[in-house]
Amino acid sequence: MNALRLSWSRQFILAACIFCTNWLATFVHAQVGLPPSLVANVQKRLVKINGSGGMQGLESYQTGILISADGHVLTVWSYVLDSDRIKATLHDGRRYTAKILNYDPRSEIAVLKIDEKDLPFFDLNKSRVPDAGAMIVVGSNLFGVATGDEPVSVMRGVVQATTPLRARRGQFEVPYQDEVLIVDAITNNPGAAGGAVTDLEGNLIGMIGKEAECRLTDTWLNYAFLTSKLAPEIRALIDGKSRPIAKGRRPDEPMSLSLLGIQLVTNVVHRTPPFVDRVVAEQPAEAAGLRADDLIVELNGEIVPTIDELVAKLSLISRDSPVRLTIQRNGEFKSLQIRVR
Amino acid sequence: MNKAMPQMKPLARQSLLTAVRQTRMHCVGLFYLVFSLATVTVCGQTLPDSTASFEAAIKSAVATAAPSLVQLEVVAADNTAAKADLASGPRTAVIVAPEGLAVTASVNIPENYTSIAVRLGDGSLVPATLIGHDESCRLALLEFTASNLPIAIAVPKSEIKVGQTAIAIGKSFSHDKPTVSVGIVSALNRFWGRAIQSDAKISPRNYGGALIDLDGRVFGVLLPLGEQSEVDTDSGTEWYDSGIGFAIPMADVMDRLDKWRNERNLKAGKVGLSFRKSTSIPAQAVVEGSSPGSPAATAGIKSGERVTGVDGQSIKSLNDFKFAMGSRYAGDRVKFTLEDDKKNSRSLEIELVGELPKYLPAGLGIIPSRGDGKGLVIDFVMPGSPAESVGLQAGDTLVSFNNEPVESWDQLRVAIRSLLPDTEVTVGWRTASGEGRKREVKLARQSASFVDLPLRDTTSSPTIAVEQMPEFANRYWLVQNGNADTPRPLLVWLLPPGASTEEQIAAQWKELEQHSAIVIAVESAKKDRWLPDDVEAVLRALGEVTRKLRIDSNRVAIGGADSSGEVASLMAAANRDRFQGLILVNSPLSDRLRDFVSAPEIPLAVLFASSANFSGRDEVSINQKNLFDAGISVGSVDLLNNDARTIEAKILRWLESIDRL
Repeated sequence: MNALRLSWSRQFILAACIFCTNWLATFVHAQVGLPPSLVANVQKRLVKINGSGGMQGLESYQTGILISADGHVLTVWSYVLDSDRIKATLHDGRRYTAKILNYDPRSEIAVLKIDEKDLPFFDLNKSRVPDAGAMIVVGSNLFGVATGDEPVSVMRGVVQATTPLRARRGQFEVPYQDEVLIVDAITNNPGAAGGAVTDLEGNLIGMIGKEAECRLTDTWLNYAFLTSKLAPEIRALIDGKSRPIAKGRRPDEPMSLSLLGIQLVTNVVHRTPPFVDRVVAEQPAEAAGLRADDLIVELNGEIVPTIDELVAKLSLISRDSPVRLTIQRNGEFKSLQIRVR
Repeated sequence: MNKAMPQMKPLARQSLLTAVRQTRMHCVGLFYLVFSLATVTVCGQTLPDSTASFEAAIKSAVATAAPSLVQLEVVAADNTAAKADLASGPRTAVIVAPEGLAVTASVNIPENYTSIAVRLGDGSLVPATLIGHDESCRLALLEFTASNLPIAIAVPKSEIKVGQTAIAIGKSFSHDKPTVSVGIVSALNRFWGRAIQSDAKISPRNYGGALIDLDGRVFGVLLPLGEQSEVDTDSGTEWYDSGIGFAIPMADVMDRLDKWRNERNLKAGKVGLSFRKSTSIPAQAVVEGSSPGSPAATAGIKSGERVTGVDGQSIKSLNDFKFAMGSRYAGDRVKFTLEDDKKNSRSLEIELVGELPKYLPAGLGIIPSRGDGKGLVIDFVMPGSPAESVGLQAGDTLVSFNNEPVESWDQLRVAIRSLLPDTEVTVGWRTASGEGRKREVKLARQSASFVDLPLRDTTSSPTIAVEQMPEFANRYWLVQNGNADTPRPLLVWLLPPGASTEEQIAAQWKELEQHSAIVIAVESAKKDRWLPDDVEAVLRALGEVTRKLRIDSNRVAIGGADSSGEVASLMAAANRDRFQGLILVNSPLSDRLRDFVSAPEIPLAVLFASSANFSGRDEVSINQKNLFDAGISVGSVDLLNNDARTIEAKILRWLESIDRL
């Protein structure tokens, strides 16, 4: 009888133990966290960069990414690097003076070099373009909170989208307009620029860009350059060559409204929609069936919400190419093809 | 694919409990060991893998839901509103009918749009028309020509739980590949039962898009929501990407889709009740009054009745009432259960309206006596007022209103607030010589004109003390005249930005010698201008003084001169429950101000004081007219160069009278 009771209580203790173990495990589980080894591998491949700045609200720090065992550091080109005493500090506190190897102000990237061997690094050959929804690890020295041998901060998030960068800083357009990663971790903070975005295997997929606002939504962007796209450019910079990124080339003989024979309403307000005021007689637009009061909605499949955007987009088309317009007339959309020659 | 991964915890716990029960029965101790090893091993193995499977689940959910989203293109000329550029890029809408109906956030449709189009999954652009807005939930319904569109599947509301994974998707960057942000359901029933809250990143990138679950079903339509949800469609946009975002439950949208389509514009249903301020926690839904002409007034809901039920649902607090009414629409018939102070219960069915009749304050034209004296003694009768026309005089005592005895000024105030100007009422009073009178009279539109009240005999000169609030850079000076036993009027005076000395402030308010008011003169934190952050400091100063001194809660005003006046107008408009008076010296209203609303429970009297060389008179006269038309009481004083009295003297005199009845 006594023995049986003991056995019961033992069973209860055992049951409680199992319950706790199981509960703890599932708790970790429910968080869908990141394996510590993955986080550590990201952290030791990043450096804290200190340079000029430190006054008037300008921070004197940013982040850099080790991309070779020999101490090549990828980072963003910024005023922080505008110093002959750029310091790069590894995760373990080793501190180096970094040299600027090369930079490209248009893509806003720079490659630094520190004098060291056998460093852990991200292999650019393993960089891929992720899908939206892919989970990511973000490592950066945001707000400069990590100093000395402190590892950089790590965030988790997902890829919101990959999309061409349409961004501005104040009134100035950001020159880089190639595809970037939009992430749902908050990366637009001081010091985060130059930080790494990796996938769940720990492969580098992006480098956090400098703070910028989205021109489409007027919101701060959390974005990162796609390292797979920048890889050739980065290699060129390491080799001492500069390969500026190809920008939209202007044709020698651009298309224009007057060539098409279109007069739009006066561009008075800040964002005037492209309403047709008049179609010039015996000109291509008239022949194609465009009429006064039509609203031009699309040019070659792209929305043109304002006169300014229509004019800008026309200037990128050669006058020899046909122009496809979607117009709105009496609430209906119509497609017109106009050829100048 | 392992969608169940994050939900494994309860399952595992349950199987364990079952196992414990079974084994207890069979007394097979070894089983525990095997079982425990098994579960730990399983968890140990799946740990590194779980994140990856979670990622796969997210992608699968997004792929499932994505076809029911369309990209939205709106062409609009610039409107000068600050957030106009919000409308410049593509937005998102959620398909709700296969033949071409989609719902988006109202913020995506600027008022002055010229063209709306949706880009379908195959890239084709289709013109769309706006059917109308759901003004309560700030959503817009769009119609376009299409067929066999995949429609979103709504998650039944009962299945939505706080903590569930929630994915925010939108199509602002691409018509086929949605943007993705992952979070959880943070809360339910926000904004009086209207919205789901999530910590996924919600911004113009996905406003109008969907918050979905791991099965790809739609929790709700994403949108910004803020405090003034009925006024500004863009309030709440300042919280974008900050971990607090909202979605209107898809199940609710689908439930009222037919009604929305038929009625085109849905308005929040209003009944027109105001409730007594209560110190009990939770506050009770005890009726103070009903807005004149409102469904509540027509149905005869009386002051003092308590709302105990709405459509059979028990109402135990004012919050219960707000939740019960939060998602009602104009035209809804609602059964209210009311209980009077003798616990008699009755039920009324009332049809809600979208707009309450504009409230115009009415009055008799009397100023109540101060102090805790016996009876409702009249202190002053306004010249040309209804009171004067029936022969009421200062010193008379009011005894009845509409043949009901009146015992307090508050009771009379509530009674008059439920009536409109030109309403015939009966007033009974006792003259100073003890003679009883009763007359019929028509109420007039309440005025806030300047009246020369008789001055008080006071002996003590005003004192001034400076206060530094712990958490703010702003200081304030408390200027008052001795200690009064009766509640006193209070003026919050916004000093001109820049250094004001104590001597200047004391000199400015020396007139307090002959007035009962308390003045709090608050400085701006910055030396050159007032900033939005100063509002908090001003309200804190007001709160500190209100706690320390006896304030007449019917006579609290805010004011300032020049640019400080404009700031005062913004603060008054944003804090109508705190301020009953607004004083603008040589200043128009701020042009950032939207319409003032008029409601019985938030009376407002505005005084414009202009000196001879004030250049903004034209603007002020337009302000006066607009305010009057909106149902606000307006008064003005002109200061001539040779005026014997200071502007402060006139302000203080006027402040004495703003609680007129």
